[in-house]
Amino acid sequence: MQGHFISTATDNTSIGTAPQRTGRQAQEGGDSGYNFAFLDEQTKRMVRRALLKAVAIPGYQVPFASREMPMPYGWGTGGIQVTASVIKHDDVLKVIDQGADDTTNAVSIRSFFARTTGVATTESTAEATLVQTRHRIPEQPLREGQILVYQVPIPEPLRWVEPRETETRTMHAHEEYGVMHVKLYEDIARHGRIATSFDYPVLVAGRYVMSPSPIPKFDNPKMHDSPALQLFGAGREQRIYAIPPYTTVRSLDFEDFPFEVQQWDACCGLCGADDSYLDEIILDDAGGRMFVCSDSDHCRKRREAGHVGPMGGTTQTLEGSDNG
Amino acid sequence: MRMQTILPGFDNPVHDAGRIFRAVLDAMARPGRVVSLTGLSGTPAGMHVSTAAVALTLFDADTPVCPEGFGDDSAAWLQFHCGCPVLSAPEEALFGLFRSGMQLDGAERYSGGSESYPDRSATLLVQVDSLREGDQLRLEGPGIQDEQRLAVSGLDRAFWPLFARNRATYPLGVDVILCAPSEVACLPRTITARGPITCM
Repeated sequence: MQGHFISTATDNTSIGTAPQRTGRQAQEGGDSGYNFAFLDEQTKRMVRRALLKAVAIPGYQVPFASREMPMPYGWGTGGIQVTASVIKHDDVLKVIDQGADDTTNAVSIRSFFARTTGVATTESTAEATLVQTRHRIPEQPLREGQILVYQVPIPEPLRWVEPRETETRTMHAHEEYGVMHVKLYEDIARHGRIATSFDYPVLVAGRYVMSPSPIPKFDNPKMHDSPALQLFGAGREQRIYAIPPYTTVRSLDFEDFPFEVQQWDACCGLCGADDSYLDEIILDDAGGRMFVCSDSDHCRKRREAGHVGPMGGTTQTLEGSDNG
Repeated sequence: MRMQTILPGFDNPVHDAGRIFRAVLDAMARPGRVVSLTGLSGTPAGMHVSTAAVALTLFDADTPVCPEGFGDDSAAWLQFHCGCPVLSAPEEALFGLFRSGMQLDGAERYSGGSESYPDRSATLLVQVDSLREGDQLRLEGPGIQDEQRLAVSGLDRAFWPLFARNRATYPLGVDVILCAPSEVACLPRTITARGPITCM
């Protein structure tokens, strides 16, 4: 927790649903001493040109000159550079990590942008105009005008079957994707089903095979025909790619082994949702466990609307004991 | 030697560029949708406010630009504000600028990228008189739900057969930004245009 922008950031983590703006940060440009959104204008122009080409060639990975950011690779440096190049001062920003707004990575990135831009932040998917995400797509369907920015570790879907960049680039050029189906077939031969459960390859607009980033395949159908614009940034690998709104995104599969998403026998312990992506939480050493929504905003909204899961009373009991 | 006055650029370079970029990104993501680009007080002769705004937002020393049909003051303005190389060789340009009503036969000379790097292709800023009236087109492709209608006037009709040929080379090809005086609409290479005037 000692990242230098983390420890010095003011407490701008918005609790509750209303977009929040702190007084000092509401000034244009945010923190003085840095350009708006940290990146210099020359870098933003370079990223912006890459973004326009990425949108024009859906699913194709555009190389870009990724910069050093004030955080380590793997913490979302690609997503941050995309967000920094796209963000306007009247945006409302939401940042999630594995669906949750309150995890370390999400809190750090949110306070980074609150500090360097002064934009309003929110935890509510509906109120956000710009959502940066690590490994999930919000449960609430996105609407037209929203932009979803993905943090991507390995942008090349063919990397696991072909380590050479020169080769994978040629394979994309020649639309030579048979090897991806061989990989999925090997899953079936070994496990009797397609065992790939995250980073499940998709075919975008009928041309490019693309890595959806390590989202669970549960989220893959949300990418298809989405009204929102989806942008992907890989900082270490220096790639940007995109899916425009209303674009065909098909998960690779076979006629006799059609694509299917994960299912759970349980429902969310807190809100009772049986149609959201669930995280398993170990409660004790005796095998006790519960399932909760991975999307913290979705879960809270449902609880506020009166939905209660089988363990829904637990948090109130804990809060009560804290107060007592 | 003549006295030359160079007109100003953005009032607020950071926030104006951010705002214009988002509008252009929105237009590129939703092809054929007309977005408004304003906020410049003056532009060189023959250059629309929208064209100038896109230039200030995207051009810099890394982007060779080829203006076609513009005068010396436009080239001077571009070099002063963007620092971009101004060329007369379309093959080497990353951006092409076409003045309103120009014949577009030369548009085919711009780079469509390579099979391995289709992103290394030119973007053409083509000025038109209006995006609210004129020839009616129906567009289909990624970014468009069912169908998008677009009206254009002041565009060389030779453009549409050219654009259809450009579409046929996908994923290679140029991307087009149609620039009306204070509005733009984008036509990325993925788009199929159908209208009363295609391929006579």
